[in-house]
Amino acid sequence: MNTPRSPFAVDPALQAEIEQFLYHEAALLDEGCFEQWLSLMTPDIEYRMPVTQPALARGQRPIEGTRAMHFEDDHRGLRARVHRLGSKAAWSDQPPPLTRRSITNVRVEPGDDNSLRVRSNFVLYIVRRSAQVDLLAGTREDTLRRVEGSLAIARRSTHLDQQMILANPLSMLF
Amino acid sequence: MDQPTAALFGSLDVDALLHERGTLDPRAYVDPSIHALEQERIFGRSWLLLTHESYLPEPGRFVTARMGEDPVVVTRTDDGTIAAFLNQCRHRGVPICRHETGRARSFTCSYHGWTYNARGRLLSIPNEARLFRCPIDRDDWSATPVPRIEIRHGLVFGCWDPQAPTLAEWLGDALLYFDLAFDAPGGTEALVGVSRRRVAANWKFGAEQFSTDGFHVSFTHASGFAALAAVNPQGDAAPFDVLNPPMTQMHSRYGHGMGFVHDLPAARAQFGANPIVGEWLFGPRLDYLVSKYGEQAREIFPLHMNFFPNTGSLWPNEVRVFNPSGPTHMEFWSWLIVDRQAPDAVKIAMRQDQQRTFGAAGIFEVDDMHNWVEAQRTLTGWQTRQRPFNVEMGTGSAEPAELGLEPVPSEAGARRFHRRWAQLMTTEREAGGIR
Repeated sequence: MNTPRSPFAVDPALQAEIEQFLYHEAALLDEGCFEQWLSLMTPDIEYRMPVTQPALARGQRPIEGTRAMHFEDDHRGLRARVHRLGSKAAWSDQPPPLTRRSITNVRVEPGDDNSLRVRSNFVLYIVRRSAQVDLLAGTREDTLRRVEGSLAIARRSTHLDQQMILANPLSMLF
Repeated sequence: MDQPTAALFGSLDVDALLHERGTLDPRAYVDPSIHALEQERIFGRSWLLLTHESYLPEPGRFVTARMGEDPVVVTRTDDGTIAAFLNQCRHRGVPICRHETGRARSFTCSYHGWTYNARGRLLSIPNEARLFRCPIDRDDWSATPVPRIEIRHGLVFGCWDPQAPTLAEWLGDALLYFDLAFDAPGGTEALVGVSRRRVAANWKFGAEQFSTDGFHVSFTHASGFAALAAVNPQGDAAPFDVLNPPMTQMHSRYGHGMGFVHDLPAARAQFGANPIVGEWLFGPRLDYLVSKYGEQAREIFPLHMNFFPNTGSLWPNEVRVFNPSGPTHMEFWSWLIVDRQAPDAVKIAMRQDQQRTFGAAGIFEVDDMHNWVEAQRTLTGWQTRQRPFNVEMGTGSAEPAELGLEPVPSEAGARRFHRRWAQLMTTEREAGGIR
């Protein structure tokens, strides 16, 4: 991960607007409103989750090469995921799991050309069939853009803090 | 099996778990004594996938891996060969290496400082003469080596049995299919990052499905196909026909099994695959395979496969191991393999296709995992273990003695898997070199 940067001075109103936007987005996923969630993405959305790299000893470097991904979707790929989650035959989510997302540590820095770079942490609590309880945490780097006055997500890169994924099946959106 | 375990759980007749007719005692998926015996008799002498060669690009590189439940260190040694040894200090049993990957010339145990080289040979013990005052023989006290290592098409396999047949002999009648699945012009490379998942289901649920099961697709994956069809202009072909699927199943008496599709380009379109990947696979890659293996390469595209016991793969670019983690869990490790000579755009497209379908969050993968987990959870009951599972599909037709080829649907591949499993489980390890 990137080294944490020094705090940026951000207009409190902007900070509040962005936080409210991210809370709203998380609530849409928790409530299963996937179509509405999708409407918050720009048509050129880049939605990614690289496979978490193993922790390396100090001074060690990973082997070079193309990184593997858990998610690497464009808008069409996200539409397919949302379509599937709306199906009664999406067995992994029948009955729908209870999910609760907590979004914290929202850090905003101005980007170029009407875009904002926003980093935030999340904790995702998932209960399936009353029998399986999972907890996932991680961090996200978003690029937000204003579209007709409203915020929208143009890029999201999610990093899970699990090298070995324990919360299977990984059928959730992040 | 050690006596306390046998006494506690009774002595199950392993050979009787799989009935001649093709029914399976579900205790095979839950019983701790069976799990313990598997470590010795299945994982203690089978050829097991450790890693891809590209994770060990130069001397000094290492990765850690698992052979069943046993942890190993896999290294590229100074002479360029690959070696592996048990990740356990011979002194007091602490893992010699705690990292999943890195670069090291030697490995020092964190407990008392015993140090081993890249082949696991004991190099030094701090203050040895003063502390031990007795000879510590370097040969006797080196880390336990994995005696057999073989690399085929970049995939690194290890085997604990010094008398084991070669990997090619182990693959036996499935060798050609293995070669056609993993050979590529210029070789292959693994993308960086092993997708690891711990799933609450016995490893055999995964291995068996990958051996045999083309017929779950239309039902388990109905939502996935519908989703792709909804967004993909090429994805509106007729859904997979369970009663007449355009597939052939291959099943080996050595326990390997796979399904291959007749019209692979059409099937790939249905999976929403990027056309530029097909242009590579059915262009330069197929030309190479035909030149090396003949015209038969045009008709054999193994789609799902499992090489006994636990190396699964989904053509063309994913390979995984279903490692046991106790009787009721598996840890599975998945590598994404791309053709080294393929253009970068093709490699990226292969990655995108794979994550969308059968990655950890793939729209097909999640429903597979869910089925296995639900089946396993149900087996926590007592009544749920009392009656056999049905593995009879296709028994009406005779199964060829050597290589089986038949149209799916059939569970012949699962029966072959379980028979091979029972054969190994009922043969003493001391017999050695099981064929």
